[in-house]
Amino acid sequence: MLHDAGPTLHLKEFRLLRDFVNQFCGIYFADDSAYIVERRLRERLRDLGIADFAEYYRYLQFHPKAEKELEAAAEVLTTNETYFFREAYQLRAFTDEILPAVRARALARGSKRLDVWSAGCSSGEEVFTIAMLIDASGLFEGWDVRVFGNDISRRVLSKARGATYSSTSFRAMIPEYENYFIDTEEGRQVHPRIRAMCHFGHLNLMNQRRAAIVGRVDVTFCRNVLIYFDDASRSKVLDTIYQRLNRGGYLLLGHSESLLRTSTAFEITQLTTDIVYRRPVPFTDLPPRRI
Amino acid sequence: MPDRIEEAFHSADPDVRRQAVHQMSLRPQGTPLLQIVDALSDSDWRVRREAISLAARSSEKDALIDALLSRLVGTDNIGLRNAAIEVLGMVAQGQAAKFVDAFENAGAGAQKFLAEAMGKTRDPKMIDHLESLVRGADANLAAAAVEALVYIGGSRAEGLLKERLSTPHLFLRISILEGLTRLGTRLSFAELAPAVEDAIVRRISAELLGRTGNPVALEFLLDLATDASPQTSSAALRAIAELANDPNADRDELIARLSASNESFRRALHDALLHGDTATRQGSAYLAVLCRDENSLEAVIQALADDVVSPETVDALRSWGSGLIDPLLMQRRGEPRVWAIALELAAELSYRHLDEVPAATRDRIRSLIERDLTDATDAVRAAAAESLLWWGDRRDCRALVECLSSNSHQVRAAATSALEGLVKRVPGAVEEALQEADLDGPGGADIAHVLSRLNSQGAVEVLKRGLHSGDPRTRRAAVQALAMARANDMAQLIGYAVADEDIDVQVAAVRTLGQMSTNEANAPLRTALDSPFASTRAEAALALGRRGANGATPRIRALLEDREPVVVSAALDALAWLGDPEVATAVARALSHPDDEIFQAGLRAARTLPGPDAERLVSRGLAHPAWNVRMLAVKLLLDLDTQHTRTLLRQALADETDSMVRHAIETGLRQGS
Repeated sequence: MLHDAGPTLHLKEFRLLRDFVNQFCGIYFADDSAYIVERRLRERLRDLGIADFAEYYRYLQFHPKAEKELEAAAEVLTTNETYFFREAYQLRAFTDEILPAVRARALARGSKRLDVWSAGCSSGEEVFTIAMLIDASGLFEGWDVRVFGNDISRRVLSKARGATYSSTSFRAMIPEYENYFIDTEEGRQVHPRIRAMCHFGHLNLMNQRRAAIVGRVDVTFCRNVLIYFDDASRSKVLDTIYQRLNRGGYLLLGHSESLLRTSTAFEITQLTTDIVYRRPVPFTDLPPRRI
Repeated sequence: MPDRIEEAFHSADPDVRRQAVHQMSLRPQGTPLLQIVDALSDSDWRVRREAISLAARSSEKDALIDALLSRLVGTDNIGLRNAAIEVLGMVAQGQAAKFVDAFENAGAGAQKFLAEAMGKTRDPKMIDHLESLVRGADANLAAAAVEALVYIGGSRAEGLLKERLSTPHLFLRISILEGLTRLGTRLSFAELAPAVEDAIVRRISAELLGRTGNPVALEFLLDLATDASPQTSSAALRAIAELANDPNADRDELIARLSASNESFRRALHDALLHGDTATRQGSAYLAVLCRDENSLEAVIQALADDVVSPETVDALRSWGSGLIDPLLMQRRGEPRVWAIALELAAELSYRHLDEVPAATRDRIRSLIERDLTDATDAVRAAAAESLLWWGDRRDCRALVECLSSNSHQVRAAATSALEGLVKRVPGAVEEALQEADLDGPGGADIAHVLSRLNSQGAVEVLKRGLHSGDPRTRRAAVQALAMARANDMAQLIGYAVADEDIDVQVAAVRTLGQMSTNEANAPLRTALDSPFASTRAEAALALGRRGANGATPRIRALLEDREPVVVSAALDALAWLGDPEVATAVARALSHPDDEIFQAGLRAARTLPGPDAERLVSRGLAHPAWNVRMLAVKLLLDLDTQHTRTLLRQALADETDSMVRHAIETGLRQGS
């Protein structure tokens, strides 16, 4: 568990591996995070019977199973810390302002369907939180509601599908949602009604073509995911998110994240308790601009 | 089509205008200057941002700079002004004179924006003019110049900022301190002390105080750590951690002071550990351990489980010594991951401090380990197995071997590590326990690994069975293990593995054969040159080259035409090992090859050529676009170490942009001189 014994990752190999992983899945490690990469990748070296990181780099470059291994590397290198009802003020904005707006837009086009995407959902707490909020809002009874979560890690997706959590996932729990959980021997499990609304898939956010499986969504949550990416990868992922959003659809980022320098595609929408981004709706109701 | 773009550019819909600007950037004929400026003046920020990218690609740089400088001085349009500053930052390098001219015609307000744009160019030639502004009487303008100097950076800019640190203008002093913080400057406490007399200034100086390495700074930081603002408190905690981590710090004195800190500091530390960002949790965990804060121990271990703890903190936990054992054992009721780490640490510490640990505690640890070795949670089971690295004896061998059949990689790794330790103490017991181990189960590879350490004929016999396993991971591990067990008479048996259907088994076999001293290994290695797998062909060529198997030279030469770069580069390396006379020709081809791996093999082989040729050819690597290739060239030239190579490296240093390559050249030249 302490992971502090094993092959040493020298700076040269760190940079080569870092860039390789970055190209694959967008995650970026600064030089002072080399020890994290070393600690986490040792497990992979051991599993492959590889003696040092230089050989591991060659494996990722040339081995016929390199792509599979890159997935495994990305899996151990991603940070999966999350919990229910994280950043509650933003969730309030989602419930009080975004959901009614999205509902009105859907009804206006004669639809009773709501699609939400949690991009980089980790072990699923955010997906279930969103589903609970939608359910508790009472705005979508009788609607077809789908909350889709994706992650690059198969391990966390398996946990998400299990929907059973220990105490660390409840550090910001809101008491009125307690009845959405059932106590089991393994931990607290999300209620089947909520689980039925939620779907999970293995998806690398850098893979734009594969992201088409998400379909068109009304709201995308991508919170505390892009902070681990470099600028170029961030820009690519935002492009994918833009493509997947319906016109007028919302994008919610983590509280410390901003799009101002990375994408021009979204417009800023000021809500009562938060600033969110939106895919612009077709502009129809203003006179033409003077030349 | 262009008409359509024009029309879209004048649309009332900002998104349509944005897309029009994007389309303009794709036009091969470029975009007229006025249209660029018009786009930069748009009322929508998204259109302006697209326009910034468009402007940066303009071929009319001079005219664009003139136009933007004149707009910057004359406009009230905030959007245009900000966009102009950004574009100038991208395109106006080497144009200091134009900025100086623009200053002449600008009012005080506009001068501030010009200074900002000068900074954004990151052009050190701008510093001459910024210096006069920073020394000027207008504090607002001086603050803008400070910001510009921070953007440009470097020792000269840093020196100017330090010089002005004692300015009487509070606002300017704050700007300078913030700037020095961002530049990563290290000030001595004596330099910093007068500037932080003011309480407001002190609040933004936490990082700089932490970098002073001076224990006096600790008092200021302890005070800031309990500040009501979480930002100030977090910055102070991170700074104290940096202070504590300074190699010249008097660690004992610092720990004594931290340990004597008051309740509100401890509370701030605990809150930061639970709710801080990653860097703050990291720093706080370190401090909590240094000041032996038992109340924060669970949060520290939680941070360790979340992988946000630095290696220094783990070292500090170990240095806590036997006094940590009881608090660790109290974590038993906690979350499984927390308890797993606590158990593992407690086991290690109790073993390291055996004389200080009461017999009752030792017995308790031993019984906890035995109990947890069958725990339902993998993390706990793995921790128990890992703990047997310290506490294990012959009684544990069977239970550990059972752990090897777990589906959890973590449990198997821990059990393997403990069994490896036991091999040194009770090899007979380990061997006996392994007799019935299932080589076809999930732990087959781990069993092979432990067997390789036994150095007994019995173990070799079991390993031979492993070569027939249905699991390629076990076959691969058995091949590797046979090499580690120094089973030299196994060449033929391992040779069969060269024909294994799994590539990893093939590669392991080729490597193992390459390490064997017997000539029997050469025949299967030569067959591996024809493997359908590129990695196997490459490994075989390398192995034969290193063994000096001259008979294989013609076949290795043929691999220079292989379509896989990994094979070509291995063949070139092998021919260099074999001293093949055709290496020079192969090097010439490799050094014109676009593939980095082949180019690097060319450099390595070039080093084996006669003196002047080697120097000339290896030095070509210094101009390669990839930093790792330049790094290799530096290493090889330092290895050749002649007057000429040192001159080449000094010349390369002048143009080298990569910090790591620069460091390698500087260190190498220093050591060589």
